[in-house]
Amino acid sequence: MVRNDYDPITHYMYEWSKPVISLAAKKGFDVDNVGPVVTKKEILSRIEKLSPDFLFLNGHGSSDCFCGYENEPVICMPDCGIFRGKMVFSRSCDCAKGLGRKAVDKHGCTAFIGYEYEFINVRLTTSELTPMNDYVSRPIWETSNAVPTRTRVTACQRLAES
Amino acid sequence: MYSEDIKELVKLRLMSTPSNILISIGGFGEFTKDQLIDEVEKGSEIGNAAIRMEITFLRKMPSLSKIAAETR
Repeated sequence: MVRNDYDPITHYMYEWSKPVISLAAKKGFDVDNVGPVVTKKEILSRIEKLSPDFLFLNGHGSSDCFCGYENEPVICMPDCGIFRGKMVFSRSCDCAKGLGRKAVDKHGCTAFIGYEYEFINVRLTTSELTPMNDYVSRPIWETSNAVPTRTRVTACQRLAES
Repeated sequence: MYSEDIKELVKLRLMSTPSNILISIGGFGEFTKDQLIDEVEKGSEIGNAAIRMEITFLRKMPSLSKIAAETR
């Protein structure tokens, strides 16, 4: 799991990822956390070393890349091979449009779930420091969290049965 | 890029948003409803993103209501 935390939206991503981590731990999955300062060197080396079968990326992005700390491009088109054999959920703008498509079409990524437009958050002005108490924003994050919590469990069940 | 009718519709929808809300649009940052209305009026990249957000939601709403009813 990759979690940036350096501006209001990434702070929301950072906090709202916690229920996913808790559920994964409860189900007995090993969760490796990268963040809140996500650099290209660290993320690529951790993925190479640990070879996770599911990647959950939280941060800013574009059609061509997923970004780390302070919008540094960390996983870009030339790095797509890193997704080979993996399922990826990228909670970032636009990544599914270019990065995701290339990863699946050309680099053997098992599945890439993401967004083809901007990721939008709506929040209370008073909740910047306490995202989990934000009842306006809650539906956005609970819906988005359903992707890793349901996909992951289903996929692992299928792997276990095969 | 968008017709004046669409812009007016989106501006009206944004005007009805409560004042204690901030809307974050991708990497563009966070905006109050008044800031977004200005951007829509200017036809900027941010304004067009806001229009796309609203129009997509409106178009998807019938199927979202159906899904909500089925999952109740």
